[in-house]
Amino acid sequence: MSRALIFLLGILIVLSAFGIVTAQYRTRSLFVEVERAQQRTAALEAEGSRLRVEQARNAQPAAVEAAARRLGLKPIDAKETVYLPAVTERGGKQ
Amino acid sequence: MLGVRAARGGMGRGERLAFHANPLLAVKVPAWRSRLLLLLLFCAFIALAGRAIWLQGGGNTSFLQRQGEARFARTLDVPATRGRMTDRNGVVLAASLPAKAIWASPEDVDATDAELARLARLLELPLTELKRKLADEDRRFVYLARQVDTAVADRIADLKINGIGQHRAFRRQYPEGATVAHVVGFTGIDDKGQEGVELALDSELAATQGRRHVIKDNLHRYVEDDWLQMPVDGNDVALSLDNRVQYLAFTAVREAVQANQARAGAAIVLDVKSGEVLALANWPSFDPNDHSRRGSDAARNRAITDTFEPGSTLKPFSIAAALEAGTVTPQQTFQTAPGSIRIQDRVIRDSHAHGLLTVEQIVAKSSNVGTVKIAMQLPAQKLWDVYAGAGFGQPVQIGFPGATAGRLRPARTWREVEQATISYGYGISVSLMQLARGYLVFARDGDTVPLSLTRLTEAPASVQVLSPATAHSVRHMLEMAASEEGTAPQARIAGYRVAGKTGTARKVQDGHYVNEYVASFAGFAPASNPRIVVAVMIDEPGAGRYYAADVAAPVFARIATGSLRTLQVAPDALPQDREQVLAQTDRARSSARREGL
Repeated sequence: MSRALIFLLGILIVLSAFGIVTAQYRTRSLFVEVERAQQRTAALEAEGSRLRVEQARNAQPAAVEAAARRLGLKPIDAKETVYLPAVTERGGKQ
Repeated sequence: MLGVRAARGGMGRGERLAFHANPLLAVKVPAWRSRLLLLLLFCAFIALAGRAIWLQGGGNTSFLQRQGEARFARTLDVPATRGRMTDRNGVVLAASLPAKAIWASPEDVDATDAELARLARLLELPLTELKRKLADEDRRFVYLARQVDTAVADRIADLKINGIGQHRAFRRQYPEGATVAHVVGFTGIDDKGQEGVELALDSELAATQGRRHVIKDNLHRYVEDDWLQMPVDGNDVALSLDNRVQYLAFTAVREAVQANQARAGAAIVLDVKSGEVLALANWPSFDPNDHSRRGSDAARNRAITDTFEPGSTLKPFSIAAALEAGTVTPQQTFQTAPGSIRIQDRVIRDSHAHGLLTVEQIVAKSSNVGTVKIAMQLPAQKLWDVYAGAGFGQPVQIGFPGATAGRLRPARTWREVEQATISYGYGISVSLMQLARGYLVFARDGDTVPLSLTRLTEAPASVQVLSPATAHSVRHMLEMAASEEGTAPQARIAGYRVAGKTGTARKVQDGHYVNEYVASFAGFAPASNPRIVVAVMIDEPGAGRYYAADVAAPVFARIATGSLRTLQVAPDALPQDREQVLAQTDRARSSARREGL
């Protein structure tokens, strides 16, 4: 009886030891994965930042104006602007 | 030594014995010897165990721990990014991008000349400069470049030169370049703010680097970590600027300075309701991305740090003081003929004699004589109160480095002649920012709000400086000044009513007035319900024209036109034929409706 119990406990100890090793291993591989994901996040954030800067650079009013002039456009002049009144549902002027 | 005896004495001769039973091998050992051996072995094990315990947790473990750590543990700096700066609509004005710092350990560098030449080209350094940096073999560490593009850094790494290393750094990018350079400012090599908002809000923008302790496995992957300090990214800052308005102001100032061959120029656009600065432009300017031009004179934010005598742009404040004190009414007349007046030993003149003028016309036609006559009826303190209330003599509190207070001396020190000259803007000095803030009082209903360079979520509390009635009267006078009968019809714009005042002031050099001028214009639009204040200053126009009406007023008109359109402000002065167009559209609309369309 007691011999069987010792044997059983021995097996449990071995199993739990394996369990610990596996858990430790899994922890570390997950950690490696998290680490890799975090690096990717950082890289993507840096890339996003770079793109926003590039967007700002390309959307600079100076750049837009230069492009518009190449297309033969010119700034709006109030003299050529027709202002329309805002009309409410019932047709009254606002 | 050992006694040997036969184990079994009675054994017969010729009888074969098993080897192990050979009596020659039968040794009689005293019992104490085996016990001693056992004891010695036991002691040795105890000593080993003791040593193991000692090494693991005993007194002196630092050496082994150091050795162990050196093999699998590292303490890493974790970079954190400085906050971004955007305009009020989220357009990026400054952002930190990853870069690399390139360093060298001169004693370890053993590159050929060809390799060094390639390195120098990548670093954009002259070869001689690079060689000079590497020549000092006593130094273990020298930076070759601090903020190198990651792509370039990769190519440098590909050269595989011994003794050349890299580490992570950041490079601050300013996509708008020279347009907002003076407001945004720039950071130094260590990513700390040095000028402008980068300096003013450094504590907000600055990031705190993190540190962590990591353990590596045999594949050099990090498998465990322990944070010593979490990295904290800097906060993003939204400025009050609108980059479209900023661009309008910047190009208008630049072109005006160039066309008038002036020394410098500046313009400011304020939001009347909130006191936010929508644009602050200076020319000459500089590119903050180019480190070499930063220290130059062009980097000065003249609109905030430089003062000038405002001249006639100050007159409305003197008139407002008189209206507020009740000594004059807008329609009251003053005789300004013969166009000059003597105060103590000084003769004050108008550009030409105007004759009999109402108070309104004195402002509209910018009569020095009329203004002096009105101002001299007042106690000096009353004038001072209005000037100080409008913010003259105190630095503009926008947290900007180097904001000047200008000069407004206490009223009790004014002599009679000084009271006279100050009333039309001489003997007092202001920055363009102060002038813009002052005009806020007329654009609002006699109250004022603190200016802000950052975007506000709610309007700040205002302080009453003048009564609303006085502010409205002055607003009307300023509208006259910017009309056909005033001094600056050039300030008018299509579709909107504008109000504003010119100022052409002589400059003081070495204590004397010289034939150099500062032309300024301060005003607001639309006059019926002001939305923006625009102040313009052109320093030393040199192309023959120097009157503010010719030099500064057109800049005002250009900035105001563009800004009002950009901000989608409804026009308050539609031309007559446009009204007809509207009427036609109305008729077309109603007839379309009748026909059931």
